[in-house]
Amino acid sequence: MPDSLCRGADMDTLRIYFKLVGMALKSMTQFRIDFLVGVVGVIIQNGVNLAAIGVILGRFHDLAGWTVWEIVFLYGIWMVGNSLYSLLFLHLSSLDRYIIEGTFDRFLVRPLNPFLQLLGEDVNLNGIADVIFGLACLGLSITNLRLTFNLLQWAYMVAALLCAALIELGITLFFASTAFWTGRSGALINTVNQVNWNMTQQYPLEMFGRGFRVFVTCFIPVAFLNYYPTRWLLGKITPGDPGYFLSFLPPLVALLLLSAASLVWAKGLRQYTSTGS
Amino acid sequence: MYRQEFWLRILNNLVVMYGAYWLWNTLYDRQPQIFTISRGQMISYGMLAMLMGTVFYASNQVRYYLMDQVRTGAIQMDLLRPLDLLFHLLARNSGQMIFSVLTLGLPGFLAGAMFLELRPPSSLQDGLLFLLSLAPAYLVSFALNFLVGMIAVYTMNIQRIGWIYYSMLAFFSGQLVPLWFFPPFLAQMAYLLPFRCIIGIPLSIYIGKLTLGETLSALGLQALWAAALLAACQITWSRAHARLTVQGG
Repeated sequence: MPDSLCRGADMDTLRIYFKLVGMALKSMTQFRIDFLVGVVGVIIQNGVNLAAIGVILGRFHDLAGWTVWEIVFLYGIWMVGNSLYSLLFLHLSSLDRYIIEGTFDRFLVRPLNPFLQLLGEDVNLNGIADVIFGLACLGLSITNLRLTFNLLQWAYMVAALLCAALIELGITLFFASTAFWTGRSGALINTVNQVNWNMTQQYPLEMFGRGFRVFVTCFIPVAFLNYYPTRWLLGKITPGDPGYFLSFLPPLVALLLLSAASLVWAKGLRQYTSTGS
Repeated sequence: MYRQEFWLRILNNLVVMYGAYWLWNTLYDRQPQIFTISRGQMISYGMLAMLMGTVFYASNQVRYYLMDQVRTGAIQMDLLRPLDLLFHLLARNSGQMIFSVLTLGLPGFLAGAMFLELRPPSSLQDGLLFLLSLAPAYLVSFALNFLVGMIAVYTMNIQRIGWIYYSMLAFFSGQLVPLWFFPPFLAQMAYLLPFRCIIGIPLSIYIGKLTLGETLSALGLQALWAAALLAACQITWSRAHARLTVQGG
């Protein structure tokens, strides 16, 4: 990970990070029922999304050439990658709240990298439900599509999932860090999430206009989270097709985004002035 | 200071409307014969459903308000007021709702009409009936949120129950997919639930899918649901009032 995010990170800071996470977990056990309801919530929320697609495809057979199980696969890849991100990093998107409420200041007075402290602030346990739901989607679609992956394809899938988590981290951190200047980044992140959750998560990119496809590839590259890897894994693109190389870009995209995000973070932190509350 | 947020929220709406625009266009290209309505009607339905979903988000504030008040114990201040809680919340929230219509609904509508082929209502009469149907739609949305919020009196935390409510609403109101595409079993469920009063019915009127007779009976159904749910709110509240524990109070 780029330098500014983990400067001074050694075994000691790692130990402190896990201690912070442990504390966050402990405070969560207060709301045990809440967690269970959260699990049910995750299932219903995603079940509803898939049911909507199911209803449509029950009528129309396919969506821009994608059958229902192919879309479930697309959705599953997105969910597993996203849950890896949301488990550890989801709260980064509320960085602006820490800044506005002035609680960010306490990260600065302690002798530990502020980024690590922010990371250790919270864990999103519902991510576990997301992982399970996502894996179920993958399992069911792989069975129903009768896919037989070879070793290379399995390795590709694992790598794509890890890259997806890092890409999302990069995007969120990049936009969240704008709060150092504007004091508020919620709406901006919301826009990104809108594109991500409501569109590329469940709809194949072929469906949209050219402008949108360029947008989610070059500007807010959420198409690399699930669409490009899925297209390759399902054999919807073969060597020689235009854009074939995009299937192998996720690691590069993740690296670029994380570098950019860490620059913005570092720059923002340097000129940060407390809200004074 | 947060002027950019105003623009971003309109942009957010445009983004989801854009998604609906392409979804229904793609499907219309493939099998136009499945639709019993024109392409323009279908696209307008899809986009407005998304827009209404976010505009009606304002009635969620009833839920959050109740949760916060119960959690912090501030609800006792509300109990001291010489004003019925239900009425108090309705007054408070309808203001938020009007604000939401003006700052999200109207700009979203205009932007959709300018950039995304959003059509005006099928006729002037349908347009007026659509506006009329929004009133009971709002009351149903308000009452459902109040009822979900009431759970907070018992459990203290309802944030996640809110997600479940929102998902059910998105699906069974006809926001994600119009109810006439549902397979029989799901359609049956949707017809028995009140959610379609919020989005499905008003928009069916808007695009002119209903005859005048059907529209009037749909409006009657909405009014019935609104009355029944508000009565349920009143009953639930007087029960809850009796066993309310004020935290730290």
